[in-house]
Amino acid sequence: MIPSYYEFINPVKIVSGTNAVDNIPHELDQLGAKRPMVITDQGVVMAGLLKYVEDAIEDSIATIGAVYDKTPPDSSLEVVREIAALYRSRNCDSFIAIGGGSAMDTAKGVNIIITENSDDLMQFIGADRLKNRLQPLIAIPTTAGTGSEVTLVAVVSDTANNVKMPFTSSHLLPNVAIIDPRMTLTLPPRLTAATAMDAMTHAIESYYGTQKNPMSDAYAFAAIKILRENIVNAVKNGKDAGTRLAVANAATMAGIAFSNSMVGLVHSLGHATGGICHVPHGVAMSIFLPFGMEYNLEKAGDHIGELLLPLGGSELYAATPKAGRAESAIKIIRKLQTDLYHLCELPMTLKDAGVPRNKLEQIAQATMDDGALTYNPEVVTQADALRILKLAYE
Amino acid sequence: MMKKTISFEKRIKKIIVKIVMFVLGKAIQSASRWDSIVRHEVARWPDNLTFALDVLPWGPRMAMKKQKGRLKYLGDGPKEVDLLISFKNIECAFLVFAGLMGTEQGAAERRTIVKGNLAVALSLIRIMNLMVVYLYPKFWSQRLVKRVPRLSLKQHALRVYIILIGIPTGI
Repeated sequence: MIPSYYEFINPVKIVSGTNAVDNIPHELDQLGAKRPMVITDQGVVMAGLLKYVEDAIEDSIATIGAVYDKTPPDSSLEVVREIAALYRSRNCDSFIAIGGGSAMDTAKGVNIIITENSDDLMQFIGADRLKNRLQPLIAIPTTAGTGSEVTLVAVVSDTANNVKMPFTSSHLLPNVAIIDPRMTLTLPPRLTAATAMDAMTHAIESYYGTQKNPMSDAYAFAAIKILRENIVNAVKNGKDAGTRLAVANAATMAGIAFSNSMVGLVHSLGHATGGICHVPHGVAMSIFLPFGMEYNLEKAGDHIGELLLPLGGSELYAATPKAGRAESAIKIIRKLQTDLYHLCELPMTLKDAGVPRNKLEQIAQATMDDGALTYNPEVVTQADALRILKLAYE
Repeated sequence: MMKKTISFEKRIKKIIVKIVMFVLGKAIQSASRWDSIVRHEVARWPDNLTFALDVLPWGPRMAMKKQKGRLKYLGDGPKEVDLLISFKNIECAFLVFAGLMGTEQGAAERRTIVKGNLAVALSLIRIMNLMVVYLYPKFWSQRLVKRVPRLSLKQHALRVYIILIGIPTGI
Protein backbone atom coordinates (compact mmCIF):
# COMPACT_ATOMS: atom_id res chain seq x y z
CA MET A 1 0.00 0.00 0.00
CA ILE A 2 1.28 3.48 -0.84
CA PRO A 3 1.53 5.70 2.25
CA SER A 4 -0.68 8.78 2.25
CA TYR A 5 2.46 10.89 2.51
CA TYR A 6 6.21 10.31 2.53
CA GLU A 7 9.50 12.00 1.73
CA PHE A 8 12.52 10.47 0.03
CA ILE A 9 15.91 11.94 -0.78
CA ASN A 10 19.07 10.45 -2.25
CA PRO A 11 21.23 12.90 -4.20
CA VAL A 12 24.48 11.01 -3.49
CA LYS A 13 26.48 10.09 -6.57
CA ILE A 14 27.45 6.43 -6.28
CA VAL A 15 30.74 5.44 -7.89
CA SER A 16 31.04 1.68 -7.60
CA GLY A 17 33.41 -0.93 -8.98
CA THR A 18 36.95 -2.06 -9.53
CA ASN A 19 39.47 0.71 -8.72
CA ALA A 20 36.65 3.21 -8.20
CA VAL A 21 38.90 5.12 -5.77
CA ASP A 22 41.00 6.22 -8.76
CA ASN A 23 38.13 8.51 -9.77
CA ILE A 24 38.56 10.73 -6.70
CA PRO A 25 40.45 13.51 -8.56
CA HIS A 26 37.66 13.78 -11.12
CA GLU A 27 35.01 13.87 -8.40
CA LEU A 28 36.94 16.54 -6.48
CA ASP A 29 37.20 18.57 -9.66
CA GLN A 30 33.46 18.27 -10.24
CA LEU A 31 32.89 19.54 -6.71
CA GLY A 32 35.29 22.45 -7.16
CA ALA A 33 37.57 21.13 -4.40
CA LYS A 34 41.37 21.17 -4.50
CA ARG A 35 42.54 20.66 -0.94
CA PRO A 36 40.64 17.84 0.78
CA MET A 37 41.17 16.78 4.36
CA VAL A 38 41.25 13.00 4.84
CA ILE A 39 39.54 11.69 7.96
CA THR A 40 40.20 8.06 8.74
CA ASP A 41 41.34 5.68 11.48
CA GLN A 42 44.36 3.58 12.37
CA GLY A 43 42.73 0.38 11.11
CA VAL A 44 42.49 1.85 7.62
CA VAL A 45 46.09 3.08 7.73
CA MET A 46 47.43 -0.27 9.00
CA ALA A 47 45.55 -2.13 6.27
CA GLY A 48 47.22 0.07 3.66
CA LEU A 49 43.92 1.47 2.38
CA LEU A 50 44.90 5.12 2.77
CA LYS A 51 47.62 4.49 0.21
CA TYR A 52 45.02 3.79 -2.52
CA VAL A 53 43.57 7.27 -1.96
CA GLU A 54 46.96 8.97 -1.76
CA ASP A 55 48.05 7.25 -4.97
CA ALA A 56 44.86 8.35 -6.72
CA ILE A 57 45.32 12.00 -5.73
CA GLU A 58 49.08 12.03 -6.39
CA ASP A 59 48.67 12.54 -10.12
CA SER A 60 46.10 15.34 -10.07
CA ILE A 61 45.75 19.05 -9.45
CA ALA A 62 44.29 18.35 -5.99
CA THR A 63 46.51 18.07 -2.90
CA ILE A 64 45.66 16.40 0.39
CA GLY A 65 45.57 19.33 2.84
CA ALA A 66 45.65 17.26 6.02
CA VAL A 67 45.20 13.70 7.24
CA TYR A 68 43.55 12.89 10.54
CA ASP A 69 44.01 9.15 11.11
CA LYS A 70 43.13 8.69 14.77
CA THR A 71 39.33 8.62 14.64
CA PRO A 72 38.18 6.43 17.55
CA PRO A 73 35.44 3.78 17.17
CA ASP A 74 33.00 6.07 18.97
CA SER A 75 33.74 9.58 17.85
CA SER A 76 33.22 12.38 20.36
CA LEU A 77 32.68 16.13 20.56
CA GLU A 78 36.34 16.60 21.53
CA VAL A 79 37.58 14.67 18.48
CA VAL A 80 35.30 16.71 16.20
CA ARG A 81 36.66 19.96 17.63
CA GLU A 82 40.27 18.78 17.31
CA ILE A 83 39.81 17.85 13.65
CA ALA A 84 38.02 21.12 12.88
CA ALA A 85 41.00 23.06 14.26
CA LEU A 86 43.33 21.07 12.00
CA TYR A 87 41.05 21.66 8.99
CA ARG A 88 41.08 25.41 9.57
CA SER A 89 44.83 25.62 10.19
CA ARG A 90 45.59 23.77 6.94
CA ASN A 91 43.10 25.74 4.81
CA CYS A 92 41.31 22.64 3.57
CA ASP A 93 38.25 22.99 1.34
CA SER A 94 36.61 19.56 1.41
CA PHE A 95 36.55 16.17 3.13
CA ILE A 96 37.38 12.61 2.17
CA ALA A 97 36.15 10.21 4.85
CA ILE A 98 37.63 6.70 4.69
CA GLY A 99 36.42 4.09 7.14
CA GLY A 100 33.36 2.80 8.90
CA GLY A 101 30.51 4.77 10.41
CA SER A 102 32.74 6.53 12.90
CA ALA A 103 35.09 8.11 10.33
CA MET A 104 32.20 9.15 8.09
CA ASP A 105 30.05 10.47 10.93
CA THR A 106 33.04 12.32 12.36
CA ALA A 107 33.60 13.99 8.99
CA LYS A 108 29.94 15.00 8.94
CA GLY A 109 30.22 16.42 12.46
CA VAL A 110 33.36 18.39 11.58
CA ASN A 111 31.68 19.59 8.39
CA ILE A 112 28.81 21.01 10.45
CA ILE A 113 30.94 23.17 12.70
CA ILE A 114 33.26 24.22 9.86
CA THR A 115 30.32 25.34 7.72
CA GLU A 116 28.47 26.97 10.59
CA ASN A 117 31.72 28.53 11.84
CA SER A 118 31.12 27.28 15.37
CA ASP A 119 32.89 25.11 17.91
CA ASP A 120 29.75 23.83 19.57
CA LEU A 121 28.34 20.84 17.72
CA MET A 122 25.61 20.44 20.38
CA GLN A 123 23.91 23.55 19.00
CA PHE A 124 22.91 21.51 15.97
CA ILE A 125 21.63 18.33 17.60
CA GLY A 126 18.29 17.13 16.29
CA ALA A 127 16.62 17.17 12.92
CA ASP A 128 16.72 19.70 10.08
CA ARG A 129 18.73 22.32 11.98
CA LEU A 130 21.26 22.99 9.24
CA LYS A 131 20.39 25.70 6.75
CA ASN A 132 23.66 26.00 4.81
CA ARG A 133 25.15 23.78 2.14
CA LEU A 134 28.09 21.95 3.71
CA GLN A 135 31.64 21.60 2.35
CA PRO A 136 32.07 18.84 -0.26
CA LEU A 137 32.32 15.36 1.26
CA ILE A 138 33.44 12.17 -0.47
CA ALA A 139 32.74 9.05 1.57
CA ILE A 140 34.62 5.79 1.08
CA PRO A 141 33.23 2.97 3.21
CA THR A 142 35.63 0.26 4.36
CA THR A 143 33.24 -1.83 6.43
CA ALA A 144 30.19 -2.48 4.19
CA GLY A 145 27.57 -2.07 6.85
CA THR A 146 26.91 1.36 8.29
CA GLY A 147 25.57 2.91 5.08
CA SER A 148 26.72 6.29 6.37
CA GLU A 149 28.05 7.09 2.89
CA VAL A 150 24.45 7.63 1.78
CA THR A 151 22.64 8.64 4.97
CA LEU A 152 21.56 12.02 6.24
CA VAL A 153 22.47 11.03 9.78
CA ALA A 154 25.60 11.56 11.84
CA VAL A 155 25.99 10.01 15.29
CA VAL A 156 28.60 11.47 17.62
CA SER A 157 29.08 10.30 21.21
CA ASP A 158 28.68 12.49 24.24
CA THR A 159 31.32 10.59 26.21
CA ALA A 160 30.58 12.49 29.42
CA ASN A 161 26.99 11.19 29.51
CA ASN A 162 27.47 7.86 27.68
CA VAL A 163 24.91 8.72 25.03
CA LYS A 164 25.05 8.84 21.27
CA MET A 165 23.79 12.10 19.81
CA PRO A 166 22.05 12.04 16.44
CA PHE A 167 22.20 14.85 13.89
CA THR A 168 19.92 14.58 10.89
CA SER A 169 19.71 16.88 7.90
CA SER A 170 19.65 16.39 4.15
CA HIS A 171 22.74 18.64 4.08
CA LEU A 172 24.65 15.82 5.80
CA LEU A 173 24.34 13.56 2.77
CA PRO A 174 27.81 13.14 1.23
CA ASN A 175 28.24 14.35 -2.35
CA VAL A 176 29.87 11.16 -3.55
CA ALA A 177 30.06 7.60 -2.22
CA ILE A 178 32.90 5.53 -3.60
CA ILE A 179 32.49 1.77 -3.35
CA ASP A 180 35.71 0.03 -4.23
CA PRO A 181 36.07 -3.68 -3.40
CA ARG A 182 39.72 -3.15 -2.49
CA MET A 183 38.59 -1.14 0.51
CA THR A 184 36.83 -4.09 2.17
CA LEU A 185 39.09 -6.98 1.12
CA THR A 186 41.09 -6.87 4.34
CA LEU A 187 38.13 -6.73 6.71
CA PRO A 188 38.47 -9.67 9.17
CA PRO A 189 35.74 -12.35 9.08
CA ARG A 190 33.98 -11.42 12.33
CA LEU A 191 33.92 -7.74 11.46
CA THR A 192 32.68 -8.65 7.99
CA ALA A 193 29.84 -10.63 9.54
CA ALA A 194 28.94 -7.94 12.09
CA THR A 195 28.88 -5.08 9.61
CA ALA A 196 26.93 -7.12 7.07
CA MET A 197 24.35 -7.94 9.73
CA ASP A 198 24.17 -4.22 10.48
CA ALA A 199 23.31 -3.67 6.81
CA MET A 200 20.79 -6.52 6.93
CA THR A 201 19.16 -4.89 9.97
CA HIS A 202 19.00 -1.53 8.20
CA ALA A 203 17.22 -3.12 5.26
CA ILE A 204 14.83 -5.27 7.30
CA GLU A 205 13.85 -2.59 9.82
CA SER A 206 13.37 -0.02 7.10
CA TYR A 207 11.10 -2.46 5.26
CA TYR A 208 8.65 -2.90 8.11
CA GLY A 209 8.99 0.46 9.92
CA THR A 210 6.24 3.07 10.11
CA GLN A 211 8.03 5.38 7.67
CA LYS A 212 8.44 2.75 4.94
CA ASN A 213 7.61 3.92 1.44
CA PRO A 214 7.81 2.48 -2.08
CA MET A 215 11.22 3.98 -2.77
CA SER A 216 12.85 2.75 0.44
CA ASP A 217 11.12 -0.62 0.01
CA ALA A 218 12.77 -1.10 -3.38
CA TYR A 219 16.24 -0.45 -1.99
CA ALA A 220 15.62 -2.55 1.14
CA PHE A 221 14.22 -5.52 -0.75
CA ALA A 222 17.10 -5.63 -3.21
CA ALA A 223 19.67 -5.15 -0.45
CA ILE A 224 18.29 -8.09 1.57
CA LYS A 225 18.49 -10.40 -1.43
CA ILE A 226 22.10 -9.47 -2.19
CA LEU A 227 23.10 -9.75 1.45
CA ARG A 228 21.43 -13.13 1.91
CA GLU A 229 23.25 -14.45 -1.17
CA ASN A 230 26.66 -13.08 -0.21
CA ILE A 231 27.15 -12.69 3.55
CA VAL A 232 28.37 -16.22 4.23
CA ASN A 233 30.73 -16.22 1.27
CA ALA A 234 32.12 -12.80 2.23
CA VAL A 235 32.98 -14.23 5.65
CA LYS A 236 34.39 -17.48 4.23
CA ASN A 237 36.24 -16.03 1.25
CA GLY A 238 37.17 -12.50 2.21
CA LYS A 239 39.48 -12.09 -0.78
CA ASP A 240 36.68 -12.62 -3.30
CA ALA A 241 36.40 -9.10 -4.73
CA GLY A 242 33.09 -9.83 -6.48
CA THR A 243 31.44 -10.91 -3.24
CA ARG A 244 32.91 -7.93 -1.40
CA LEU A 245 31.58 -5.56 -4.03
CA ALA A 246 28.14 -7.16 -3.78
CA VAL A 247 27.98 -6.82 0.02
CA ALA A 248 29.28 -3.24 -0.14
CA ASN A 249 26.62 -2.34 -2.72
CA ALA A 250 23.92 -3.96 -0.60
CA ALA A 251 25.11 -2.02 2.46
CA THR A 252 24.85 1.20 0.48
CA MET A 253 21.37 0.29 -0.75
CA ALA A 254 20.30 -0.56 2.80
CA GLY A 255 21.72 2.81 3.85
CA ILE A 256 19.58 4.62 1.29
CA ALA A 257 16.56 2.66 2.51
CA PHE A 258 16.94 3.40 6.19
CA SER A 259 18.06 6.98 5.67
CA ASN A 260 14.61 7.54 4.23
CA SER A 261 12.43 5.24 6.30
CA MET A 262 14.42 5.09 9.52
CA VAL A 263 14.88 2.06 11.74
CA GLY A 264 13.17 0.81 14.89
CA LEU A 265 13.40 -1.19 18.08
CA VAL A 266 16.44 -3.27 17.06
CA HIS A 267 18.46 -0.10 16.64
CA SER A 268 17.13 1.46 19.84
CA LEU A 269 18.24 -1.60 21.81
CA GLY A 270 21.55 -1.62 19.95
CA HIS A 271 22.25 2.08 20.51
CA ALA A 272 21.51 1.69 24.23
CA THR A 273 23.62 -1.47 24.56
CA GLY A 274 26.45 0.16 22.63
CA GLY A 275 26.29 3.35 24.68
CA ILE A 276 26.37 1.56 28.03
CA CYS A 277 28.36 -1.62 27.43
CA HIS A 278 30.30 -0.66 24.28
CA VAL A 279 29.06 -3.68 22.35
CA PRO A 280 29.98 -3.11 18.68
CA HIS A 281 26.94 -1.90 16.76
CA GLY A 282 26.92 -4.72 14.20
CA VAL A 283 27.16 -7.37 16.93
CA ALA A 284 24.23 -5.82 18.77
CA MET A 285 22.21 -5.67 15.55
CA SER A 286 22.85 -9.32 14.84
CA ILE A 287 21.77 -10.33 18.36
CA PHE A 288 18.60 -8.21 18.49
CA LEU A 289 17.34 -8.54 14.89
CA PRO A 290 15.24 -11.74 15.28
CA PHE A 291 13.80 -10.48 18.57
CA GLY A 292 12.83 -7.18 16.98
CA MET A 293 11.13 -8.97 14.09
CA GLU A 294 9.23 -11.25 16.50
CA TYR A 295 8.16 -8.32 18.65
CA ASN A 296 6.60 -6.61 15.63
CA LEU A 297 4.83 -9.67 14.23
CA GLU A 298 1.36 -8.51 15.19
CA LYS A 299 1.64 -5.03 13.69
CA ALA A 300 3.99 -5.73 10.78
CA GLY A 301 3.69 -9.49 10.20
CA ASP A 302 2.57 -9.07 6.58
CA HIS A 303 5.58 -6.94 5.71
CA ILE A 304 7.97 -9.27 7.53
CA GLY A 305 6.34 -12.18 5.68
CA GLU A 306 7.09 -10.49 2.33
CA LEU A 307 10.77 -10.60 3.25
CA LEU A 308 10.74 -14.37 2.95
CA LEU A 309 11.10 -13.87 -0.81
CA PRO A 310 14.52 -12.14 -0.73
CA LEU A 311 15.60 -14.10 2.35
CA GLY A 312 14.52 -17.60 1.34
CA GLY A 313 14.12 -17.47 -2.43
CA SER A 314 11.10 -17.89 -4.67
CA GLU A 315 10.59 -21.62 -4.15
CA LEU A 316 10.43 -21.43 -0.37
CA TYR A 317 8.27 -18.32 -0.58
CA ALA A 318 5.80 -20.02 -2.93
CA ALA A 319 5.71 -23.19 -0.82
CA THR A 320 5.03 -21.34 2.44
CA PRO A 321 1.44 -20.33 3.27
CA LYS A 322 1.03 -16.60 3.80
CA ALA A 323 0.34 -17.04 7.51
CA GLY A 324 3.69 -18.77 8.06
CA ARG A 325 5.95 -16.54 5.98
CA ALA A 326 6.93 -14.08 8.70
CA GLU A 327 7.95 -16.89 11.09
CA SER A 328 9.92 -18.54 8.29
CA ALA A 329 11.72 -15.26 7.57
CA ILE A 330 12.70 -15.01 11.23
CA LYS A 331 13.90 -18.64 11.19
CA ILE A 332 16.20 -17.81 8.28
CA ILE A 333 17.70 -14.91 10.21
CA ARG A 334 18.27 -17.21 13.21
CA LYS A 335 19.87 -19.80 10.94
CA LEU A 336 22.11 -17.08 9.50
CA GLN A 337 23.08 -16.08 13.05
CA THR A 338 24.04 -19.68 13.82
CA ASP A 339 26.02 -20.03 10.59
CA LEU A 340 27.96 -16.83 11.34
CA TYR A 341 28.62 -18.01 14.89
CA HIS A 342 30.13 -21.24 13.59
CA LEU A 343 32.13 -19.43 10.92
CA CYS A 344 33.59 -16.59 12.97
CA GLU A 345 32.09 -16.73 16.47
CA LEU A 346 29.89 -13.71 15.94
CA PRO A 347 28.13 -13.48 19.34
CA MET A 348 24.53 -14.70 19.40
CA THR A 349 23.69 -13.54 22.93
CA LEU A 350 24.33 -10.49 25.06
CA LYS A 351 26.22 -12.71 27.50
CA ASP A 352 28.59 -13.79 24.72
CA ALA A 353 29.00 -10.14 23.79
CA GLY A 354 30.22 -9.37 27.31
CA VAL A 355 27.17 -7.53 28.64
CA PRO A 356 26.86 -7.84 32.44
CA ARG A 357 23.37 -9.00 33.46
CA ASN A 358 23.11 -6.19 36.01
CA LYS A 359 23.20 -3.63 33.18
CA LEU A 360 19.97 -4.80 31.54
CA GLU A 361 17.72 -2.43 33.52
CA GLN A 362 19.91 0.52 32.59
CA ILE A 363 19.92 -0.51 28.94
CA ALA A 364 16.12 -0.84 28.96
CA GLN A 365 15.80 2.69 30.32
CA ALA A 366 18.25 4.11 27.76
CA THR A 367 16.30 2.32 25.00
CA MET A 368 13.28 4.45 25.83
CA ASP A 369 15.29 7.60 25.05
CA ASP A 370 16.27 6.49 21.56
CA GLY A 371 14.56 8.25 18.67
CA ALA A 372 14.28 5.13 16.50
CA LEU A 373 11.49 3.85 18.76
CA THR A 374 9.19 6.42 17.17
CA TYR A 375 9.38 4.51 13.90
CA ASN A 376 8.84 1.04 15.34
CA PRO A 377 5.43 -0.36 14.34
CA GLU A 378 4.62 -1.70 17.81
CA VAL A 379 4.72 0.50 20.89
CA VAL A 380 7.58 -0.33 23.26
CA THR A 381 7.51 0.19 27.02
CA GLN A 382 10.49 -0.07 29.32
CA ALA A 383 9.12 -3.39 30.58
CA ASP A 384 8.90 -4.67 26.99
CA ALA A 385 12.49 -3.62 26.32
CA LEU A 386 13.69 -5.34 29.49
CA ARG A 387 11.84 -8.53 28.56
CA ILE A 388 13.55 -8.63 25.15
CA LEU A 389 16.94 -7.93 26.72
CA LYS A 390 16.45 -10.87 29.09
CA LEU A 391 15.46 -13.11 26.18
CA ALA A 392 18.54 -12.01 24.24
CA TYR A 393 20.84 -12.44 27.23
CA GLU A 394 21.56 -16.17 26.92
CA MET B 1 8.40 40.26 6.65
CA MET B 2 4.72 41.20 6.29
CA LYS B 3 2.24 38.46 6.95
CA LYS B 4 0.31 37.41 3.87
CA THR B 5 -3.46 37.25 3.75
CA ILE B 6 -4.53 33.67 4.35
CA SER B 7 -7.70 31.87 3.38
CA PHE B 8 -10.73 31.58 5.64
CA GLU B 9 -10.23 27.81 5.80
CA LYS B 10 -6.67 28.14 7.07
CA ARG B 11 -7.75 30.72 9.63
CA ILE B 12 -10.41 28.35 10.97
CA LYS B 13 -7.86 25.56 11.14
CA LYS B 14 -5.47 27.82 13.07
CA ILE B 15 -8.22 28.67 15.55
CA ILE B 16 -9.05 24.99 16.03
CA VAL B 17 -5.38 24.09 16.51
CA LYS B 18 -5.00 26.92 19.04
CA ILE B 19 -8.03 25.71 21.00
CA VAL B 20 -6.77 22.12 21.03
CA MET B 21 -3.34 23.36 22.13
CA PHE B 22 -4.99 25.08 25.07
CA VAL B 23 -6.94 21.94 25.98
CA LEU B 24 -3.85 19.77 25.60
CA GLY B 25 -1.67 22.16 27.62
CA LYS B 26 -4.12 22.31 30.51
CA ALA B 27 -4.68 18.55 30.41
CA ILE B 28 -0.92 17.90 30.57
CA GLN B 29 -0.56 20.45 33.36
CA SER B 30 -3.23 18.67 35.39
CA ALA B 31 -1.92 15.19 34.57
CA SER B 32 1.60 16.16 35.64
CA ARG B 33 0.13 16.74 39.10
CA TRP B 34 -2.01 13.62 39.45
CA ASP B 35 -0.97 10.95 36.94
CA SER B 36 1.87 8.65 38.07
CA ILE B 37 2.95 7.83 34.50
CA VAL B 38 3.25 11.50 33.55
CA ARG B 39 4.97 12.31 36.85
CA HIS B 40 7.46 9.50 36.20
CA GLU B 41 8.20 10.83 32.71
CA VAL B 42 8.59 14.44 33.84
CA ALA B 43 10.78 13.48 36.81
CA ARG B 44 13.60 12.61 34.40
CA TRP B 45 13.47 16.00 32.62
CA PRO B 46 15.89 18.77 33.64
CA ASP B 47 14.41 21.28 36.12
CA ASN B 48 12.98 24.47 34.60
CA LEU B 49 12.98 22.92 31.12
CA THR B 50 10.73 24.75 28.70
CA PHE B 51 9.22 23.26 25.59
CA ALA B 52 6.90 24.50 22.87
CA LEU B 53 4.81 23.07 20.07
CA ASP B 54 4.37 25.45 17.20
CA VAL B 55 3.25 25.67 13.61
CA LEU B 56 5.57 27.17 11.00
CA PRO B 57 5.93 29.94 10.11
CA TRP B 58 3.66 32.06 12.34
CA GLY B 59 1.96 29.80 14.83
CA PRO B 60 -0.22 29.03 16.63
CA ARG B 61 1.96 27.92 19.48
CA MET B 62 1.83 26.51 23.00
CA ALA B 63 4.61 26.38 25.58
CA MET B 64 5.07 24.65 28.92
CA LYS B 65 7.67 24.70 31.67
CA LYS B 66 8.74 22.19 34.28
CA GLN B 67 8.40 23.84 37.69
CA LYS B 68 8.77 22.03 40.99
CA GLY B 69 8.43 18.66 39.30
CA ARG B 70 5.22 19.58 37.44
CA LEU B 71 4.42 21.11 34.09
CA LYS B 72 2.88 24.54 33.76
CA TYR B 73 1.05 25.74 30.65
CA LEU B 74 2.44 29.11 29.51
CA GLY B 75 0.21 29.98 26.55
CA ASP B 76 2.48 31.12 23.72
CA GLY B 77 5.37 31.24 26.20
CA PRO B 78 8.88 32.60 25.60
CA LYS B 79 10.40 32.68 22.12
CA GLU B 80 13.46 30.71 23.16
CA VAL B 81 12.73 27.29 24.63
CA ASP B 82 14.83 24.22 25.41
CA LEU B 83 12.78 21.89 23.21
CA LEU B 84 10.82 22.97 20.18
CA ILE B 85 8.62 20.69 18.10
CA SER B 86 7.50 22.52 14.98
CA PHE B 87 4.87 21.39 12.50
CA LYS B 88 5.95 22.22 8.97
CA ASN B 89 2.62 23.84 8.09
CA ILE B 90 -0.90 24.31 9.43
CA GLU B 91 -2.28 21.41 7.39
CA CYS B 92 0.13 19.00 9.14
CA ALA B 93 -0.69 20.47 12.54
CA PHE B 94 -4.43 20.31 11.88
CA LEU B 95 -4.23 16.58 11.11
CA VAL B 96 -2.62 15.91 14.48
CA PHE B 97 -4.48 18.41 16.66
CA ALA B 98 -7.87 17.62 15.15
CA GLY B 99 -7.31 13.96 16.03
CA LEU B 100 -7.04 12.78 12.43
CA MET B 101 -3.47 11.52 12.80
CA GLY B 102 -1.37 10.30 15.75
CA THR B 103 1.66 12.25 16.94
CA GLU B 104 4.02 9.41 16.14
CA GLN B 105 2.56 8.98 12.67
CA GLY B 106 3.09 12.72 12.16
CA ALA B 107 6.73 12.30 13.17
CA ALA B 108 7.08 9.20 10.96
CA GLU B 109 5.80 11.18 7.99
CA ARG B 110 8.32 13.92 8.76
CA ARG B 111 5.63 16.50 9.33
CA THR B 112 7.49 17.83 12.38
CA ILE B 113 10.94 19.22 13.12
CA VAL B 114 12.51 18.71 16.54
CA LYS B 115 15.06 21.10 18.01
CA GLY B 116 16.56 20.15 21.35
CA ASN B 117 16.81 17.11 23.60
CA LEU B 118 15.44 14.11 21.68
CA ALA B 119 15.01 12.00 24.81
CA VAL B 120 12.69 14.64 26.26
CA ALA B 121 10.88 14.87 22.93
CA LEU B 122 10.21 11.12 23.03
CA SER B 123 9.02 11.38 26.61
CA LEU B 124 6.71 14.24 25.61
CA ILE B 125 5.29 12.17 22.77
CA ARG B 126 4.53 9.39 25.26
CA ILE B 127 2.70 11.92 27.47
CA MET B 128 0.77 13.27 24.48
CA ASN B 129 -0.23 9.72 23.53
CA LEU B 130 -1.57 9.18 27.05
CA MET B 131 -3.56 12.41 26.75
CA VAL B 132 -5.01 11.11 23.49
CA VAL B 133 -6.15 7.99 25.37
CA TYR B 134 -7.67 10.14 28.13
CA LEU B 135 -9.35 12.72 25.90
CA TYR B 136 -10.73 10.57 23.07
CA PRO B 137 -13.06 7.57 23.25
CA LYS B 138 -11.30 4.24 22.68
CA PHE B 139 -12.77 3.64 19.23
CA TRP B 140 -11.06 6.85 18.10
CA SER B 141 -7.86 6.82 20.18
CA GLN B 142 -6.93 3.37 18.86
CA ARG B 143 -6.56 4.99 15.45
CA LEU B 144 -4.11 7.54 16.85
CA VAL B 145 -1.79 5.54 19.10
CA LYS B 146 0.02 2.28 18.47
CA ARG B 147 -1.50 0.54 21.47
CA VAL B 148 -4.32 1.73 23.76
CA PRO B 149 -3.28 0.74 27.29
CA ARG B 150 -5.84 -0.92 29.58
CA LEU B 151 -6.79 1.83 32.03
CA SER B 152 -7.11 1.06 35.73
CA LEU B 153 -10.15 2.22 37.72
CA LYS B 154 -8.01 5.04 39.12
CA GLN B 155 -7.02 6.12 35.63
CA HIS B 156 -10.66 6.13 34.53
CA ALA B 157 -11.46 8.42 37.46
CA LEU B 158 -8.46 10.59 36.64
CA ARG B 159 -9.60 10.81 33.05
CA VAL B 160 -12.98 12.18 34.14
CA TYR B 161 -11.26 14.56 36.54
CA ILE B 162 -8.93 15.92 33.85
CA ILE B 163 -11.81 16.51 31.43
CA LEU B 164 -14.15 18.11 33.96
CA ILE B 165 -11.76 19.95 36.27
CA GLY B 166 -8.19 19.69 35.02
CA ILE B 167 -8.73 21.32 31.63
CA PRO B 168 -10.89 24.25 32.82
CA THR B 169 -8.73 25.00 35.86
CA GLY B 170 -5.33 23.43 35.13
CA ILE B 171 -5.37 21.95 38.65
